[in-house]
Amino acid sequence: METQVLGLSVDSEPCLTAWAESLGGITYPLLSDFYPHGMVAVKYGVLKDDGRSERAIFVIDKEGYIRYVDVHDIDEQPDNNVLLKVLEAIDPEAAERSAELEKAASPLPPFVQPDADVVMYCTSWCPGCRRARVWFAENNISFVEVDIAKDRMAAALVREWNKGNETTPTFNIHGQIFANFSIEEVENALQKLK
Amino acid sequence: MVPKGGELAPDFTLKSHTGKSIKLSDYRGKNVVLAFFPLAWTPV
Repeated sequence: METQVLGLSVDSEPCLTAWAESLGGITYPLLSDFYPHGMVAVKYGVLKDDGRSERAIFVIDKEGYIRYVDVHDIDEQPDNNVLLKVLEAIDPEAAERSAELEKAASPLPPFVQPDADVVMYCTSWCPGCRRARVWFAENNISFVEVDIAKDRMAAALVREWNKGNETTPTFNIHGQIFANFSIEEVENALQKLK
Repeated sequence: MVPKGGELAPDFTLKSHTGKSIKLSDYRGKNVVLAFFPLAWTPV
């Protein structure tokens, strides 16, 4: 689809550079709305009192008009499937082309879920994954990690579970699937294992 | 105020993480998804 994604935050450029590197390279520009602080966020009405911006999505059409607005709670990630539908609706031709491309692309080998009671789908950088690793170690709980930045088919599975988002960490504790690390949720899931 | 659907998107020029200057109106002819996120090191 002829679509350009632009990420924006109020971080400084060097911070975004470091983040992009830690993500293993990112395919779209991350823009620094740092000085004057949050100027663009103000234009779009999404700068919060604490100086951060909301998590928000604006879809802009080829003529420069806003076609879709979605402002999210800060902890919630936007639904990528909804976004895709919006893009297809404002540009039906592009939707057809992308469908054809998808058909033509050769499929990757399917991802086989590890045979373990506790599986964590994660990335090397995500803070929740790091907290979970520490907690598992402290509590002598064995688990298997799958890095979804490296295994794209595993990432597809995580997207399927999370409305199109690659939320990390996502856990599969013997068939109980949930996103984000909470000790309570993990303990509950482990309890059901016994 | 959050601009509503149907309004012209406010133009801006910002530096990207690779140091490039990016102007929104340079993308006319393409659909653009603007994704604001609170801070780096949080999921985009």
